[in-house]
Amino acid sequence: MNLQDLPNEILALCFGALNEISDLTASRLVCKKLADICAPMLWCDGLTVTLETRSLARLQFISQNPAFATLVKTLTFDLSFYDEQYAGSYGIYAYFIVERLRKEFGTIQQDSQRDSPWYTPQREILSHVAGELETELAQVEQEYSRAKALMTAFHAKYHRLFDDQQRAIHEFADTHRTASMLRRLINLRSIKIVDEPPNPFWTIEEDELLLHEVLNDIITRSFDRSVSVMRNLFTAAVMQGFKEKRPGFEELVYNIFMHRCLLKFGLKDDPRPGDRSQSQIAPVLVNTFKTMAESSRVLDSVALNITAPKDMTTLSMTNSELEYVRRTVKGTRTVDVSVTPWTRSSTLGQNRSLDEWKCMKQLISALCNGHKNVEHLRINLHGYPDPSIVPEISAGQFLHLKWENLRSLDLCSVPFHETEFANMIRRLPESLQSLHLNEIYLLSGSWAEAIDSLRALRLRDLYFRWPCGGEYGGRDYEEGTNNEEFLHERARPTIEYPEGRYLLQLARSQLEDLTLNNLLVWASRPIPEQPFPRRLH
Amino acid sequence: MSSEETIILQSSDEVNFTVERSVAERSMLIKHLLEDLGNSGEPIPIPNVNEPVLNKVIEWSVHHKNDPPSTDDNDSENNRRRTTDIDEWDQKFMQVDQEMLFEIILAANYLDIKPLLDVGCKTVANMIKGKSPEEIRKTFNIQNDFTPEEEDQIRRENEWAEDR
Repeated sequence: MNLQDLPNEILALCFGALNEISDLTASRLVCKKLADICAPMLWCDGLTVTLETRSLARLQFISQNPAFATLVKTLTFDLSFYDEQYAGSYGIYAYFIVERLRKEFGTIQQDSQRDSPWYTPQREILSHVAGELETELAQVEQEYSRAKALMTAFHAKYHRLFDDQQRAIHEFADTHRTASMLRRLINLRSIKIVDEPPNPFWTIEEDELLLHEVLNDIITRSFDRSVSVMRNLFTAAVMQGFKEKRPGFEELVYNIFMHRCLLKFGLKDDPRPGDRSQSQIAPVLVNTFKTMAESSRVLDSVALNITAPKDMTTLSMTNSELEYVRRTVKGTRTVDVSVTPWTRSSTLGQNRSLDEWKCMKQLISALCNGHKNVEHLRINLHGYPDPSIVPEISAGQFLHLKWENLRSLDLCSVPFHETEFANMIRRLPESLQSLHLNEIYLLSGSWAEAIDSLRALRLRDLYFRWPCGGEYGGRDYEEGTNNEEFLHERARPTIEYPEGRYLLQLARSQLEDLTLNNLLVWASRPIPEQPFPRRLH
Repeated sequence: MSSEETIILQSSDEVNFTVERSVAERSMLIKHLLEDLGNSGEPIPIPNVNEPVLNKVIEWSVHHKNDPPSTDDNDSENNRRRTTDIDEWDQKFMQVDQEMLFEIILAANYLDIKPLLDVGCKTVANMIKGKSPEEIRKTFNIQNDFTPEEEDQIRRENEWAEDR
């Protein structure tokens, strides 16, 4: 008996257990039977379309090949783009890389501190080794020009990718063409639109073997004497401590090395790059929705997961553009909107203007409102509110919950006035089984009342975590607590945390007689000095 | 009574095996059969499985008789990427020639013993991992039946898949 004699469905199980695409592609080249068995597995994890000409060409290839086109059920539009600033200026790019390296070291140190005492000796080894490396590096000045060449090559690659992306964006603007490709993906049921800043580092690929060699050469010559000892220590510390996910020896050496090089190049005083410019996201986003609308697909699931731009008004859409959004989600049962982090990275503590909120409101309304078929809805504005002045805009003003079939609702960091929160709760349909309220910000009123309004619901699951605002107010910010620290503190789930008991007691006293399968209440906010009087029944 | 209740299983070549009911019930096929018809005490014929294979399957079932019932995880399409980790005992258990490995897989499939089927498939997957097409052919004694054009076509398709 031979492998080929196994029935197809069993072969599918065997090859389905392979994790690597390369194993699947190798198997396809074995014989005709295996080629057919493994073909569906190439795309069944879904297809990702990025803003690269090659990616659009792949979409075209797949759409034209019926055997593949029918297999695609999930499509991800990855609207990440390379930044014009970095592409345009070597100095800004290099500065950015140095910043990243510093952060990388910061992360490693934090990680090692967090998990002490096990990590303590490792941390010492790490900093010792890092110091040694720097000293060694200082002695090989003549090699810096080669490293600079490397950095220039990296930047050139960034530039090349940026240029390619410009061409892709241009192609993508032909929504008619892309929509016709999508129409051929007849089993497409779910789309996801994401926007993650792309990583400016690349792992050394085969075609960059030359660069790799240069680096290896430098490293070998630089650390002639101590390299083997350090390598062992370092590999032990890094590989054991951080498993495979963390950078290995080589990568860290590159990082330290380049860091050092860049300082040597005098790039320290280069202008600091601003927030990622996001002027391009809006047209690309509009084109994505336009494409989906034109393809007339009825989707089970639509997810929008984008990085909040520097200025939300760049996401502003005209009414006709918003119509594409509405058409995309027509008939959709699961909608997931996530615009995070709401907080601006470079200006923590500064709030967003009302105009920005209005743009967000339009987009969320178009995605979420008035779609009768929606069964599962998630809205995530994580990072809201900025820990300062909260704009007087409440989700109650734009979340008109008119869904008749809603089964689960998951809101994260969404702001409400208490009355509007209560209104929303009251309007929730009887079909609702699960309600998740995470970090809901109460702009007015009290949580005592807000929790009271939950009593009317007949739910199976209620998850209620980290309430903000209301009687919890903004006390902490006024005292000048470091915001980042504060957020970290709050992220700690502490059901036993004594200070969270006010909320726990409140929730228990008001909700315990409800028949729920799951009630989860987490709170770690400090107890208000003068708790609001509880409404009693 | 219940813990000592025994079942007689009969292989295709008419060899009888007496096993505890809990062992036999690792097989969903037998479990449902017993639920529907009860245990008459007569041997239950397993027509598709011969003596050496049934022996192996029972060996596995005895070792795993107290495993918690597998939760119906939706390891369907969305969750295809699975680990090919196999626990140590199972690895040793699966150190058999290919013929026997495939027979065990077929028996597990027929008898509906999902965890055993999983282990078998993962074992096969591990034999493929990291190998070139030629090495895979050699491992499983498979003939290359592609014309050069067909092979080229597959290569082109593969390129699109690898490039992501």
